[in-house]
Amino acid sequence: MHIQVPVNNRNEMLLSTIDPFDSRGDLIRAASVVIWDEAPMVNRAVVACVDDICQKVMQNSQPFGGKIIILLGDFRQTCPVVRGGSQADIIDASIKSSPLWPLFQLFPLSMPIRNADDPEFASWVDNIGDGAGPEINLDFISRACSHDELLDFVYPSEVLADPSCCLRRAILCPTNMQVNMYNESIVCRIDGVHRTYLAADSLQEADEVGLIPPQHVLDYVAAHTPPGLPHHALNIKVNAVYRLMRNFSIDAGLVKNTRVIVTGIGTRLVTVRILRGIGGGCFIDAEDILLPRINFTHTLHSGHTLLRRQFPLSAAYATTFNSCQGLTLDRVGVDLTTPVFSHGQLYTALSRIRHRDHARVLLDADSHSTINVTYHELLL
Amino acid sequence: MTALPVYLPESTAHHQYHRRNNERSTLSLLDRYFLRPTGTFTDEDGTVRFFDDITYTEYFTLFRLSNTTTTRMANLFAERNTVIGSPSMHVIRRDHTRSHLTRIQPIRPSQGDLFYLRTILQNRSSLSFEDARTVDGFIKDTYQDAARAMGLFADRNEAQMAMEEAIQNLKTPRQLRLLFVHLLVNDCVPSPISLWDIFHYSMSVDFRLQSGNNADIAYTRTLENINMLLEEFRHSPADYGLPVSPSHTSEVLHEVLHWGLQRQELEQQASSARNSMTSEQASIFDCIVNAVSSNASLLAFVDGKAGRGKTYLVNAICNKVRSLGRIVLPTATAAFAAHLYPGGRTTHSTFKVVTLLLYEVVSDAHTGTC
Repeated sequence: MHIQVPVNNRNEMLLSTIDPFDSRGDLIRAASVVIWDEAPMVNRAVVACVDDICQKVMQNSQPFGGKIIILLGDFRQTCPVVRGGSQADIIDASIKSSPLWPLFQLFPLSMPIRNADDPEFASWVDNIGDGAGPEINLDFISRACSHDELLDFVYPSEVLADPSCCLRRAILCPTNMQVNMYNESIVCRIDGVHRTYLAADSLQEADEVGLIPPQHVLDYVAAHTPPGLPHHALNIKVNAVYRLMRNFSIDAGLVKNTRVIVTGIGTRLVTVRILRGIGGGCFIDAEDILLPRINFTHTLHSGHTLLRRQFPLSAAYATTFNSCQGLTLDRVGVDLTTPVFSHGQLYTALSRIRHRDHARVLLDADSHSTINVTYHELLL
Repeated sequence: MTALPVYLPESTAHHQYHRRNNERSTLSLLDRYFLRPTGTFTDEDGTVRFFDDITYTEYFTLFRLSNTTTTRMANLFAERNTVIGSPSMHVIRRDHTRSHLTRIQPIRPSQGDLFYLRTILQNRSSLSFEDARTVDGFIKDTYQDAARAMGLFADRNEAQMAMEEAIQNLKTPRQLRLLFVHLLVNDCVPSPISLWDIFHYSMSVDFRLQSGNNADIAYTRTLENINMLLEEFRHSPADYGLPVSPSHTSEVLHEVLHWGLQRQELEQQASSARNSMTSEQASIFDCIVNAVSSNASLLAFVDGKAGRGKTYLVNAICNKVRSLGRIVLPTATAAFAAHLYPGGRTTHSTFKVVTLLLYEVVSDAHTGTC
């Protein structure tokens, strides 16, 4: 009999499957340096787990087996995701709350790169990251007066016609609902044949015991896409830009959030090509990548596990503040008609660009400011 | 709240207000949906939408039907007037500030084709009973066939059909191998070995040509290639019950061989990067390189503000460490950040951190524990 025991909410029970003397154990023993980017995003339990493996592999009890461990990241923009967690839960999950944290030596990387485009803007954005506010006056950045004006600023028709131009542009909003609304209306503006793919949804618990899933639950998740899942009715258009929702191959550059352009819409396969940005230029990869429908799972509030089989694609013209991390953008439209609700979101959105002219913000008609949320406990 | 009926075309049980032999018989809400207006309307977001594209529930969520109307009313549409003996209704846009709940009546799977018709109506727009079972221009015999063809139910043969479709579309063996691996690692293949048996020939055509039509070499090289692709997902062909390729190198050897040949080039890249660093970047770089050279331990956190050259610094460190013939494991919490570094992996996969524990509890008759 197999029993699945999920880790508890605080991920305290993490284990690794590495044996100190298997091939991976040998590799970790032989490694001089471990680099770990975006460390502030991770739950501190993972840091404890890595410490444990390093000690086992090195057969000593020094922290991290005495290896050189380089963590990198920015506490201003990232914090661990704790589903339904309070501010206290998030702070507790942070690596800053780990007993290992005081052992790390801090190295700031804060000097502006030479010939920064707009130093005044850069320092204004830095202030937001360091916890300015909560009221932030946005008169510094030009305004858009409507959704359409924001759309036209970021994606004028000549840009939409050339998918490689869309790579370094984005509309940013705090909520998934707004993101969907923008993406739908932008995909409508693109020329190309399209096809709507319907997902196969089921509830794992019902499948396992051969019961019928309650229809109203499936009807609900078909209409309201849970976070991190592709839509139930997924509209795919040739020539439009999508992002991958799964890691396929890191070496091939096919990872979650990679931008791809759709080149073929088959029955069981969607053909895409990677959009790559190198040194400011953007081009479309020559190789076709074939994407099948794959399984996604999501734990619903009712405790049921939704199984969705769907193509791992989502339109990429608009994105949430949380998933724009790591993108460098030349033009953004920031929709703040709904204010941000979590740590670092405003800073993350505004720090994607290098010059104030690259952005337009949309606020409620009579408003000049917005709210900035910072958990000061997370800052260094 | 509106409860929407669903029934098979030959049935009349669900017709509302149905009167026998009455020429004024009124149609059901489902018939009314099929008769919805033509053309477009504008929804509250300002998006122009086609009546043809909206689903059964959307139609009755957005619109209501009425016999009487005033001419002053905005957002008024007329049904397609095609049913003899039944008066047309006025279609009126509901006030969107007051939400209206609409649901199709639930149907159990034991009710046969009706269950599949409901699933189709729930998910897709239709213009008639026949249209509801039309997929890609073909009219299916049953709603079950149609729902499956629409992809609404997971099919055990889906992986096989995807591979077949790729072959029909003249995709290259290389692309097929990547697709095969994607299907494996996403647990979409109920029986990997039978899929391998069917498709290993198609996946090895390029190796066959390169090896002068030698089937054995082609077979082995295909397995090796799949092994290599799976390695990235920390899996091996054996995990899926596939034949094990004869040659297998250790991960340390793999890493040393991979970078060993480029040591001079990496050293050049690292030193030219070092020369154009800011003083902050340079001091971090030197501190880490010194620790590597002197085999000292070091725990560091680099607090990298956005756009301050973090990727540049990490790449220079990796190049330098590799040029010294040492091993560096560049990792990141998210794969998107990891792929910016050559040889980058997620931290979870490098350290094989599992987020789910699997306990195997063996029922033991002797001790009576379970």
